[in-house]
Amino acid sequence: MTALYAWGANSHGQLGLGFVSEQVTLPTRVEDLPDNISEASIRLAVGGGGHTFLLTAQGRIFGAGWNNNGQVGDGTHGRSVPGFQLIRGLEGHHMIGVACGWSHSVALSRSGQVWVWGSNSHGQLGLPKDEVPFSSLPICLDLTNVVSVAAGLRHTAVATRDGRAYTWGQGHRGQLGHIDSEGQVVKLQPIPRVMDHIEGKVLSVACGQNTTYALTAEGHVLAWGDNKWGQLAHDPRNVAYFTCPLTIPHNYFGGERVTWLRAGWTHCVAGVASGAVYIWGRADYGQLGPSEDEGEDSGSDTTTNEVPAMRFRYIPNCLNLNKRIQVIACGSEHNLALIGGAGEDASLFTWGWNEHGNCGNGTTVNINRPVKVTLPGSLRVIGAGSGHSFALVKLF
Amino acid sequence: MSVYHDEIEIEDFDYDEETETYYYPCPCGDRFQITKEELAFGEETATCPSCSLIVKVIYDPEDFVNYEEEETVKPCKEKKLAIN
Repeated sequence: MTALYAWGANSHGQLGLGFVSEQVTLPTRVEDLPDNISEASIRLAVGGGGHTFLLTAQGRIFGAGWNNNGQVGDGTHGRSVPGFQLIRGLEGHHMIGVACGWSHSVALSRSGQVWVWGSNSHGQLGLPKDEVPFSSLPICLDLTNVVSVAAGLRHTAVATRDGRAYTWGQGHRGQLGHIDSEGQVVKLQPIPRVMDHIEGKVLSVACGQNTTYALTAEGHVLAWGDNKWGQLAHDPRNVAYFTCPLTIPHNYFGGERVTWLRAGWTHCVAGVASGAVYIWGRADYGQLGPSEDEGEDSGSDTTTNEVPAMRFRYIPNCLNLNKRIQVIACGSEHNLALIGGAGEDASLFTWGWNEHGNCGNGTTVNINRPVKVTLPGSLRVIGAGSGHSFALVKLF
Repeated sequence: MSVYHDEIEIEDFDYDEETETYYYPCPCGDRFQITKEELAFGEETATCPSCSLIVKVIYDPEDFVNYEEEETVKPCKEKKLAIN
């Protein structure tokens, strides 16, 4: 039997527990799922500022949470949706991806089409904002052969089968990677625009708050946009933001191919071919975990309370959790890691910002050193929104 | 926490005319907020009603000085109307 657990910020009902509350500090079972969703079929849980989606193996998307701009996609807007609902307007399409911005949503079908809904206050839907200020139902964009979708706070990025990347929405920190004919950064791009000057074939995209990342077929990471916290893996004291894709030096990842990427608001995580995982960016809530030089023998036997020495670390640091890290999910300022084999021993570690119980260890103290969160079974899927978290568990 | 979570330019805030309040996303899922009136008084800290994080608002106080004068005129007008 499989069960979905949720915890963290819940001020908009984004945990799907059926009620609104300031926070839930321990993993709590999501009991009331619609009849047409089987927990075992959940493949992805992902959240935005205050809303959440579940994607199933059948290609259906269920939404809950903040709906002031129609970002849940159930055809209404205004009141929050505290329990998961099948979103409307995608009937007949098999969805394989979904991503959340702060208050907008983007979904990908198996056929390579892209749908958007929610707030369009900064052109993040890729539609003229005076014509479409927001949408409470998915709208299909004029894009084809898309293979990856991602959303930042107020911008959106996609990758296509032929290796190109498109971005649109807010671009004031260079996160769109577009410059105008006078060489100025494009601050608002209302319709999807292909990125020029991308070196290599883009396989997938990821978005931070005001940053965009692309993973190439060669296993390189390109990054552009805000670098206030070293998110671009360059020293923020030299580069505040950058409007063109920078290749993150290969040797930062031990010279290995990067195989997956995840981004929080201001930090980024990359997994490489050997299974090692690297993390960089903002550090002051414990987002990055301990660094190598403040490793196990830092002289403290408490597991949670060391204050990070630096506010950021721009050089990717190898994350050591003593077991194989399958994948990471990033909230705005916290992380979840799925640790261990594919078998029965897969478990959950969390760390970072914890003011709303984001890390699920029953406290609201930030966690600098990843902690194991006890769940009543074997972990299958992890997911995160800004301040909230999900775990799908096969019960013992 | 007395340390600013971030520094955000006023242009980056969303403005709600009804409440005369500027809003910016907070990592907790709620929103940092500061009113036009507070800006006119020189306040530079936007707070989140749901958590302890605060941001410093980067703005030019000159842009908001007229607001105070408008405010003091407006209620007088309304009062007059009410009496009539």
